[in-house]
Amino acid sequence: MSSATNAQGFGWQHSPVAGLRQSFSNLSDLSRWAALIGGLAILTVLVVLPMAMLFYGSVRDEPPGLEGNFTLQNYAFLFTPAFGMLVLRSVVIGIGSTALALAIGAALGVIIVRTRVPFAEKLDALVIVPAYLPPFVGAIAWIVLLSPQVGYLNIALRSLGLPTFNIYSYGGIIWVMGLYYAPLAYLYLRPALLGIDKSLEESAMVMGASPSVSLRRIVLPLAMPAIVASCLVIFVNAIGDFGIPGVLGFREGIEVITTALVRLVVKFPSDPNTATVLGIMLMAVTMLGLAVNNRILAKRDYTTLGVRGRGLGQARTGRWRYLGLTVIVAYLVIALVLPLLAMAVTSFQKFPSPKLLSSNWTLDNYRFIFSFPAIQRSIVNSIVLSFGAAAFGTVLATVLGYFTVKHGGRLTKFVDYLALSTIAVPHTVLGLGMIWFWVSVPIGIYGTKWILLFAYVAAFFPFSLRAAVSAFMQVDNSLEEAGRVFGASWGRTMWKIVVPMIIPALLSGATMMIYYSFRELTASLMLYTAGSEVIATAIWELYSEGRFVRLFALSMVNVVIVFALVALANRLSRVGGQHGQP
Amino acid sequence: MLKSVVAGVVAGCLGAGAVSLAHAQAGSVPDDISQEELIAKAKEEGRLTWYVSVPTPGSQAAAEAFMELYPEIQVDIQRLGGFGLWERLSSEFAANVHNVDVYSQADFGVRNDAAERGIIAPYIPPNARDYDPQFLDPDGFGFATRIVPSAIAYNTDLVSEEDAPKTWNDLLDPMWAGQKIGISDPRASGFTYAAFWKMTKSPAIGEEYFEKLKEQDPLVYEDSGQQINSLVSGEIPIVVLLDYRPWEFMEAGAPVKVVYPEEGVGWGMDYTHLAAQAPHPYAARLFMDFYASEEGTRAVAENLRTYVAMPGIGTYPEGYGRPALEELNLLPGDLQEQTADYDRFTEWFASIFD
Repeated sequence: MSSATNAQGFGWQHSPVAGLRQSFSNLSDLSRWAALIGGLAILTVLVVLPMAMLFYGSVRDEPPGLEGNFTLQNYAFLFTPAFGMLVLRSVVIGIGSTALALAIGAALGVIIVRTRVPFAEKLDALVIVPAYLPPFVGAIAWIVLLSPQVGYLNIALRSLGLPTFNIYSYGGIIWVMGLYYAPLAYLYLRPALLGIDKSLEESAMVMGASPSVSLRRIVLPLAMPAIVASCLVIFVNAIGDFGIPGVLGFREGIEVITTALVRLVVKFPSDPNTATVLGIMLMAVTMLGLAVNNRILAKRDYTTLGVRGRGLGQARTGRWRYLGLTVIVAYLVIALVLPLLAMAVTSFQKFPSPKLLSSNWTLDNYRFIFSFPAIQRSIVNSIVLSFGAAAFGTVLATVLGYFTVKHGGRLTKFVDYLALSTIAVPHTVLGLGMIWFWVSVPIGIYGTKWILLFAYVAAFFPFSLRAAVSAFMQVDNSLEEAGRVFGASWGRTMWKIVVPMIIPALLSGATMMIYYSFRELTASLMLYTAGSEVIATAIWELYSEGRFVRLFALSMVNVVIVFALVALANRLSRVGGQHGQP
Repeated sequence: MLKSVVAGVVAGCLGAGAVSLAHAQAGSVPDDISQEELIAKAKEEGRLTWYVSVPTPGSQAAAEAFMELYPEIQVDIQRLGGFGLWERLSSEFAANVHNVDVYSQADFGVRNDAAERGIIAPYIPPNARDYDPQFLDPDGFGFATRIVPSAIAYNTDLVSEEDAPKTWNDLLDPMWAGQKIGISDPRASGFTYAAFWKMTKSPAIGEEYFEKLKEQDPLVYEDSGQQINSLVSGEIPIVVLLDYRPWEFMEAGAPVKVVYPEEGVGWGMDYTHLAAQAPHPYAARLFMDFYASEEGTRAVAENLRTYVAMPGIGTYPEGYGRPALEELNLLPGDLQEQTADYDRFTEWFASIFD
């Protein structure tokens, strides 16, 4: 729902594959160029022009289209104390939630990857699931659990004579963000931890080092680049998140950059020009974060890629196995089971109430969900749009990924950089840029489902690109050459030889695009209209109308669909012989 | 293969565009048109687009009732809460895109901007001419449907009948000090702004009242959805909020009661305007005529549990003792003055409550 909820281990550039380039250096093949230029054109329309519109808006004194003058006045806001406070609050929340997410993610990673925890394969798939739910739904569920007076957990704590928690606080926001960004940290650390050759640890053991020493001296240094990368990406996500501070920050006046930005756009008198400046600042911070990440990753090749020691559960820490299992189960209970229970219980109530022994029970909320046209539409739209975005994104990624790997060159490198840079665009900013661009291009994209599709492709396309690039890097050029020798066209060679080889990776990229498109809120909120509602906007609308019981009923439906998608993806990836993540 | 996919996508987009350009024409309707002719022309147009901030259950019900009466005319609803709708409409107008026929929204400042830029045109349906004049646009740019007072509501599990506040001043009792009262944030809602502004202009209440209320350390809810849920779940005992929300929950059995203090209640209203560049001008008028009628307003009153400007509609939910709108002491206030005072008022409010 935020800038780069997306990012899952994106390096900014891919290792050069110089050796592969020269074979295709002749430029005669027109179809390749047509494909490259087509891909570039699509990317320009999807990302570059909307962003250009945004920059234009930031130096105008009226929204685009209105008569106005050039001005730098909008940027004056950056030098006010109010802006300083917004940045400070965003940074505090960013640092706090990053630290929490990293601590949880690292614990999950070490336990699942480095110890012989029981059910490691199953846990490996389960701990990622919290990331697939819309985070603001998690935030609302946590209100039911930790509302100061009537939250279920607080009532339990009070009856035990223990201190209670107030979810409407910095701590509350950090808690919810940390819980739901932890899977992101895990996904980053997982490959790094898997890559550490177990023989290094074994040697340490032989030399008499304790597990904690080997963790500190061997695992930690080798995992450091992944740790840094995950911190940066989570931080960028956290300060770009709108839903969680939007839901939990209002009571204590915790306004952050994203909530201020949305307020400037949707509240009258609106000031979209100042909003663009906030958006550009937010984008600058995220770009900076990812550039630092890039620099760090470029310097170190951290995969040791030993032939031995791959696979889960390698280190010998047998007696800790069940302690590890307990920690993971605790995480799953807190991040998944408790909020889901709170949602499920409330979804069967006539109105939210902590009194369970009452006649406050009903099925009406589900009846409403399945009979109200706009909500039925939203369910269909969410499925169609997320699969559509994944299909569109995968085709585009295949084209661009191919040229990045096989051709190289400055133009391709630029295209590649451009494509990946979309993860630095907060979704509030993306939504605003898209409104302004498409409203001024009168070809009927604006106000239709197309604009949502384009937004999802622009926002989550890096998943597919990343998957495609790493897949193409593993395809031996000689196969393509063989195709050419036998007189097949480039298109035919691609279709018959290369595509089948890369399908498993493309599928895993597409799966991520589906998950993230499915839960996207912020850009959708700015772009949807009646007819193009998606589940996330329908949930948000129920939220803003105060219909929490119905909101939870729809969220439960959402959860069931997401679980079905996860099950489907796991089945597909087993068939394709690949793990579900890039 | 890839080329054809790209070409297909581009062609699809362009095709979709051509359709929407085709009906982008404006027109004007003679004032003396007969009802029969209006209906005939509207049916010829066959559809209209309604930009509306009225929550879906109300706007959808009104549109459906209209379509039942005129099955030949399709109502396309573009519903967005708050001001997102205005942002969109004004961007569209600036880009010379005219989709909207009828525009319903809840802020007089928006109405001023829209009138000034020629986005809306004056039109008051015949049915609305009997409304209380304060529910009509002073310059004829439309009429009100929802009338939304700000009232006190309390949780009957936490507040006894005897302790329950009956007047605004009762909220200043030391009993309610310390985050016991949750008030709506006037900066987050046009209705709340209109209501609180009228309260500050009333001699019986005034700005001093809010300054004293601050001493009680109330919670300020930017989000009225969370506010009502905090009340019904028992998180806080008393709220000052837009009055329609608790009635809906009361019907579901929630332990709440609503008090309209005798000193008077501030209130806000929404407005329905005719779009000056309406692509379907006849259908637009026909729909506005219907929306200002008994049937159209009843759809809103019944589905949103709100008061409406049309007299004699009754109150919903029925049988819960909700007073009629005429029984309330609605505080007066000049709309232009109220609108012009926005910046000063919100700054003053922030200086007290932030």
